[in-house]
Amino acid sequence: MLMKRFLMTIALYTGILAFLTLGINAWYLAMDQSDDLWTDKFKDVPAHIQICNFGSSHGLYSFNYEDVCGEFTCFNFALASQSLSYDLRILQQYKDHLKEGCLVFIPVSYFSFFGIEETQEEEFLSKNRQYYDFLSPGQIKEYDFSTHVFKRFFPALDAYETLPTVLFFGKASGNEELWSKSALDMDVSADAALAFERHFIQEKLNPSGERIVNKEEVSALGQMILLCREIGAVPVLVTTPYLEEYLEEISANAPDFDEEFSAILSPILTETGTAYMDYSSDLHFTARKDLFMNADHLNKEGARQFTNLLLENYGNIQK
Amino acid sequence: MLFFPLIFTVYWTIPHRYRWFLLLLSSYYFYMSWNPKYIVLILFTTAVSYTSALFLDWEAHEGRRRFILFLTLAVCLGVLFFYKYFNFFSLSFSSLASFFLPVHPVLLQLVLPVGISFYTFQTLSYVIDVYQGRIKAERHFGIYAAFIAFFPQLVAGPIERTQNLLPQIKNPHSFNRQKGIYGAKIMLWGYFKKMVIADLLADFVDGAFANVYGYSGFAWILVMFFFSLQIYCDFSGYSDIAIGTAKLLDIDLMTNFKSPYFSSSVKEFWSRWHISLSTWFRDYVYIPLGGNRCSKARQRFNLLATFLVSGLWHGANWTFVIWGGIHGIAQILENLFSQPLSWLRRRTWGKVLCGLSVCLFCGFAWIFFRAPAFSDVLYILTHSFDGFGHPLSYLMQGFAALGLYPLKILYLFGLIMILAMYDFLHKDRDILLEIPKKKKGLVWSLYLMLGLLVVFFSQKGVAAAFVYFQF
Repeated sequence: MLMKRFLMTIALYTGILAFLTLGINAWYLAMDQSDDLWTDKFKDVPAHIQICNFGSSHGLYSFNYEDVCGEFTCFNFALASQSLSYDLRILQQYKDHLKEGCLVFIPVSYFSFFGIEETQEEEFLSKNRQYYDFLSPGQIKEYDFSTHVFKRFFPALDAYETLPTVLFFGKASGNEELWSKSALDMDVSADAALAFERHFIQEKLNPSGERIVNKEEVSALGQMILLCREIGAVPVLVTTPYLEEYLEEISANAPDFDEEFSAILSPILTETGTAYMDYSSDLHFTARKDLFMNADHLNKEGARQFTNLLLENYGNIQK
Repeated sequence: MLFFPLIFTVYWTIPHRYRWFLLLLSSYYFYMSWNPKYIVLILFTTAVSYTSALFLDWEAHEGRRRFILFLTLAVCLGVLFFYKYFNFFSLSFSSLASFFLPVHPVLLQLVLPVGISFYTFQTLSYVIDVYQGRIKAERHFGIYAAFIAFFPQLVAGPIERTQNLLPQIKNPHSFNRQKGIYGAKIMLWGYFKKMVIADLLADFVDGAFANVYGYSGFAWILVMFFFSLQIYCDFSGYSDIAIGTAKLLDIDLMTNFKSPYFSSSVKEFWSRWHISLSTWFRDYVYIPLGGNRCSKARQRFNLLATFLVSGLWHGANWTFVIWGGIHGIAQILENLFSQPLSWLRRRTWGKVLCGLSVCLFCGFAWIFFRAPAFSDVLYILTHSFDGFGHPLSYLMQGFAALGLYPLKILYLFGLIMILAMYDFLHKDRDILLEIPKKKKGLVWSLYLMLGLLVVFFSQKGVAAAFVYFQF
């Protein structure tokens, strides 16, 4: 009898707690209108894509198809901190959405081929969470079921200190605002130094100070090109524009870098016969702070101009 | 996840005469799920202490009894020494010897068995109590083995006394609803402390100690404040979960923490912090050394020696010994200045001042406890006030270095305030017993709020081990 009453009390408590948890989670879902990771776009990936791009934040912020989207079906598959190996996984999942002859821009940034294995990176688990929103479990590295449940169905359990503010004040998307910023309003040299630290130093060097070549990422690029060909798409490798402060930071601190980068990229281009368009120091952009949001990312207007230029130049090449 | 509900169900279903067997089996399974081969060590220590206690009961000759006692202590402490301290003493000896001749230390590649310090001390107190005639030796090997390996407290205490726990494992129980509810409540509070506060603070503390020279100024003051709370919430959280789990089986374990940061002296702090260990050292080290019944100088020596050993118990490193020594010296100084201090404590402001001093002192001592090496301690002590000349930027840079922005600071200190409020109210009474006397709706609301805090704010996706498992 006593045990029965005890179990009933515990069951009642657990039931109310579960009910409140579900209620608060539903409330949170209704109030959170943000898309900080830019993953909402994957809820509705169009069919018959004719132009698309992959890449990290360099791909995410450098492609703006607004001038051509009336004429073509376009899609930006890039996400912040996305590696080539994740580009490959996304392409594998969405390859049926690409129309035959689809133009696939694959950004290769200076950091793309270097560094320790992605799963060994300190920030890996936190940056890996964005893929639980849309990739199938088999495509997610180090897949974890509980993370999947929390991320996709119970985001309120993952909100921590932001929970009360989102519940009571809501949360709007700040992506457009962020993308529309201008580098004119910031100390670009300081930002370039930070970007250099992130792209060339942190987790990129071995204990003796030599650059680590990441074989998984190099191989992923080769596989992407092969997969594009297999499905009848046209891969084009691109390096997006950077501000001169960022380029100066590289030439001052890593003068031999160009050589190392080319030593990896050239054999891939030769073996696969893929086009490579390097806009890293393109004069249309390198001195135009008004077209950048920081040292190495274009802003919305810069991305529009770059995308138009890229498509125009690619058309000229084809002619 | 299913382990305890299963044990709970079977425990209350089977007749009492088989329950010791269930407890033994589940305790060994629990331990073996960490590292199966080290179960041999528990079995060995249990067999040795069980047998020697029987001999001590049976043997009347004092000389032979003393020999059995020393032999047992040597064997049990020998196992602990071999696994926990061999490398430490080998390194220390070779460092000392290297002043005279080059010596290469002999080092063993051993994994420290989880909870070895806890169950070794439990067996030692049993054997000493039997030797001193305080208890009779247990005849039933299975019940004795279940007492040593009782799973809720096996790996991180409380270090139970034979008189308290052994009879409870032996005697019949019937389910007590009030005790069960109390157990569930104390477990919930333990989960809050461990999964919400300790795991959150661990992120800042571990990050800073992984890169000691990367931080300076107010960041270190914050880190040490966070560590003081992390270790308290981690360890007392575990104790609460252990106590609550045992209560659901109608077994009472001793209280291990009682609002230690609300102490007004270091002596009081030790009567509220890890009580099962501090009373163990009092009864089996301090008093046998002579305790208070000797000259003042000898008393001070006894106190210092006890705390040095206590430091060594926590870890095989000189930083732990120094940590213990600092606490010992602080208590000697408190004794020396007992008159002005007791005058101070009689006044409210004086009591608050003493309380703050104790917190600051403990925070300072924790640096020795947490820092991996003495050089790190020196760095932290000499760089904690870098930039103090510009107070505002000193504070701002400290928060920024740890990635603490205003909302996160508010969140963190909000959670800490809940802890502080509970501990303040819990200081001189059991708040969990007081709450049910209030209106039912209020009681339910309070526990549902606590449950929601655990559900929403516990750190997910981290597998943070309990800090004290390593001891």
